[in-house]
Amino acid sequence: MGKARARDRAGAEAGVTGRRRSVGGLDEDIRDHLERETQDNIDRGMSPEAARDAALRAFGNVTLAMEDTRAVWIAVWFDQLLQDARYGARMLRRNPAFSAVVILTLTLGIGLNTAVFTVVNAVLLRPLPYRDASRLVVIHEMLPKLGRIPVSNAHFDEWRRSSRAFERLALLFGFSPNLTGLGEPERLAAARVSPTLFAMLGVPAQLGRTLLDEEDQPGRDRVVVLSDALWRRRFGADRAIVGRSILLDSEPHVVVGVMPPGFVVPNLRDLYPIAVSAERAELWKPLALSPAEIRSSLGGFNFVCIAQLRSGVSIAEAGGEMNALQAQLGKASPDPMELQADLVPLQSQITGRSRTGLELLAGAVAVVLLIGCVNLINLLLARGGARGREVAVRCAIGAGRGRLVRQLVTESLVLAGAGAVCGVATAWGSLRLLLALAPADILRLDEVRMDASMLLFAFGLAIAAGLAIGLLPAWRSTRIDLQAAMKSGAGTVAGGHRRGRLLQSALVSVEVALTAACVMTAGLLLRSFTNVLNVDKGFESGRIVDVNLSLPSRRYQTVDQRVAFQRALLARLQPLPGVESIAVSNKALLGGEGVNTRLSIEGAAPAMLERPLTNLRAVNADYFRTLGIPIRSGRVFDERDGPRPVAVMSAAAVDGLWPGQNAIGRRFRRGADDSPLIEVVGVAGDVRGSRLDKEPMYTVYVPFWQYPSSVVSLDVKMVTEPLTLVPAIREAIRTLDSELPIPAIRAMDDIVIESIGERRFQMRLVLLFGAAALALAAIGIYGVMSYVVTQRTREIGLRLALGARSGAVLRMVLMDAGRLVGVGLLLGVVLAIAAGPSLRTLLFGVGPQDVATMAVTSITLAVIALCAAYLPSRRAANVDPLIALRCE
Amino acid sequence: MSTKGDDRVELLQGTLDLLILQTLLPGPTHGHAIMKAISQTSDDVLQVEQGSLYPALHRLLKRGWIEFDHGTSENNRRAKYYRLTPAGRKQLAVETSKWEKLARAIARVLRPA
Repeated sequence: MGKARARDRAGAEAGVTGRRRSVGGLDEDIRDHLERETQDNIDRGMSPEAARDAALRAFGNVTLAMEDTRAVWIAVWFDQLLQDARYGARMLRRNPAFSAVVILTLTLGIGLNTAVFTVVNAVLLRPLPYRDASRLVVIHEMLPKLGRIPVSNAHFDEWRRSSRAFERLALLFGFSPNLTGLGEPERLAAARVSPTLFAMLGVPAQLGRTLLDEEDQPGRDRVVVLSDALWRRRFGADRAIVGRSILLDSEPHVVVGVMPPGFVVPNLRDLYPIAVSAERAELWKPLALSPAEIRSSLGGFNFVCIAQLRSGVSIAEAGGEMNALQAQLGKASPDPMELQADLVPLQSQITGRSRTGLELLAGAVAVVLLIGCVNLINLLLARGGARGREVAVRCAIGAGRGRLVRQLVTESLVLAGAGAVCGVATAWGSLRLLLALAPADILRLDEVRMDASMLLFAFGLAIAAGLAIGLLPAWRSTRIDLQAAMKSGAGTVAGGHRRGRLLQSALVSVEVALTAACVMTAGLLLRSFTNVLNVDKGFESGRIVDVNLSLPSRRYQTVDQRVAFQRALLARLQPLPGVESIAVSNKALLGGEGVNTRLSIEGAAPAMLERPLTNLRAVNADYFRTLGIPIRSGRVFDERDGPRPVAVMSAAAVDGLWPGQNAIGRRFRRGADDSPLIEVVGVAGDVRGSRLDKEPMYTVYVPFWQYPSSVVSLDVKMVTEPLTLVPAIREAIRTLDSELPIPAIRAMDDIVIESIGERRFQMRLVLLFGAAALALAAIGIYGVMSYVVTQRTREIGLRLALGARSGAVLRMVLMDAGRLVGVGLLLGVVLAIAAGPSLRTLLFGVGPQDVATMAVTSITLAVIALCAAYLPSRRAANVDPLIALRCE
Repeated sequence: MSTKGDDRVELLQGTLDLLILQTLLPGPTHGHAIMKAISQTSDDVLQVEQGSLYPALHRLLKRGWIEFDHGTSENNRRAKYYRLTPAGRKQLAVETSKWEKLARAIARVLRPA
């Protein structure tokens, strides 16, 4: 003790700490004062002891004086905060069970919310990693009747010539060249881009250079820039790669540069206004459209346009200019049309698809935290009652209410702080789990990482939660009837139990409401998911494996070469043991929107854009049998049709083109009016070919030997287990063409599941959060009802003593709980209905206000809630009147 | 923590500050002496609550109206000697005139001419 004091004084004189510096030597000053006063008193004739006592009396409370003096210098609350925190930590150590419950709840709540926030932050909030990313926009062409469509290269040229609003405009187009000459051939994800794109994104090459504007012309365009990942994977990070030549589709291309790690061009799939399947490009070459390409089907509405706004130009101004330009273009076109433009900030274009889903997740996980907090408020309210005596004692010796509230709130903040620390660890773990579970196609998910903003969020949330759970109970438990509290052993909260119970009851209802909304949403998503899963796909996926090949156009230039390859492949695969039948087409099912064309029926020539957009599939005769697509009428074409232009059409297309008529034998054109007429020989069932949750498109099937596709999609149907034949299939392809890359061969069933991966991911998480909410709500109801029963033990004992049956008591308590749950459910339905409209895009085959879902979830919730209330009710019914009346 | 209490302290504070500044006008002195001087010069009418003397001194220190040196007192003891700063002198003039105005006004109200 003595030593400690000596050290204190040494510290004081040396001015060691901030506090002591400002009030340095205060205790000495006061001691000096007291000694002088004592001396004065002795001089007046008092005994030394009496003199000392008198001096102390005259001075008053020394500690208080010192505190007041310190308070002059520092914000006193800070001092008290530390004191409260220390006291709080001590109290919490003394109640480990209570602390554990609170910290665990907050850990889960804060952890999950932080994990979801980190994803939301990376995907939606953080700016794209480009220079002046806010000035980047995606331009879509727009037809008032059809909506957004991809950009036409001719229009793009006009925009680049005439628009003033943009600093740069770039056109992009995806392609997937085969990389050969370096061991295992590989099919790459790549893009042809206007060279100015690199300047626009403002990212220089880490090695060599990016593309040059003058390379954007046929003949000079055999140059490529590699991504860092491709450079490492295929070229062993060889710095001498720049200037070397590589083979893409068997044509030499010079590598001019390598982009830095972390550089990404947005995935084209996210930039197109239509569904396309594309992987993120790993290689870029100049767009350099050749005249032949412009004349071909490639020329037209096929591209993506990214533009950089001139600084100071708003997106609305640019939109105005573009729309004026588009109006002119539409009028001047040989096929006059009403043409507009739609400008979308690059960031919202990229994240738009994931936004609703992520917001839903964030909402659901926030509900879990809210429910957790409501539970804790109830717990603290009950504990506030138990601590009544402690609070009363503090009050009696002069603590003000504000001070007491502050102390109690500090306690919950200490708890929340602990929750935040554990929460960050939980967030880290659950984030890894989240990323592992997430389907690969959630955007920017690869950019998710833990950073300072995550910590900031966790601790901000902890403070908010600490205040939220602390304030109300603190306020209530400090409303003290001093006399009553000091008299009774347990201490009571003023205002009686009734008001406290009312508050707790209201909180239970809120809890049930939040849970109901969360569970109903989960129910809707679950139903949507099963609806998608059980939707009539129009095709069968069992026992089928899917192989996609891409024939390099240099070695497979002519229709004949391509068809010969396909025939040879079929001839090799067909006799393999276990193969039932094989389908060939130009586009895999569920592989995004394939080749689209526009149809016109014989004798009619409406404007091109008014003609129905139709999916074109070049298939073999076995296609329908293999994939189980029914032929509704007519027949399937076969080899005997030879070069005769024939087609099988989907039922929807037939209904659209020739409503109510027999389509067999009718003729139509695809594309230009001088193209040959094609005869319909059969009608096939509708197929959801691009996405399961998209209505079947009009589809026209033509013989593969009449359509020169460089993409070859094989679906091999097996007699038994599908994947056992994979090695044999690989071998067959390799013997046919050893340079052809063979991508993963996958079971069609897996492709079907993967195609709804994002939906499944969302549903699983929301279900998980819904279950967590449900569990928390059940615990909350149990807790409150137990508390209520304990509080009413005496009353219940009296009732029983007066002859009430225990069944009646059970009913009474259950009815109490039932009322709370009922009110909560009603509120929950209102909440769910209010949230409905924002859910719509996530649902499938079920409305946001689906009565069945709401009814089922409400009943489930009610049953669980009543089960939670049953235990305390039974305890109430089993109260022994004698003991009950004796207690208190 | 009631508002009434705050008002009382507020009034006392201002007054005590004024008295301390006035006491320090003749020259530096230590805490105990300040207190004694106030009661003696006011013929023991004004009893300074000793507990509030030091908070008041530190308030004045913080505002820069007084400062202190360590000095040695008559009986060879180290003590803090407080003295007025130029700003404190100015403040004393302001406070004094304010106080006189107030006192005159109250006197007029209590004993109308």
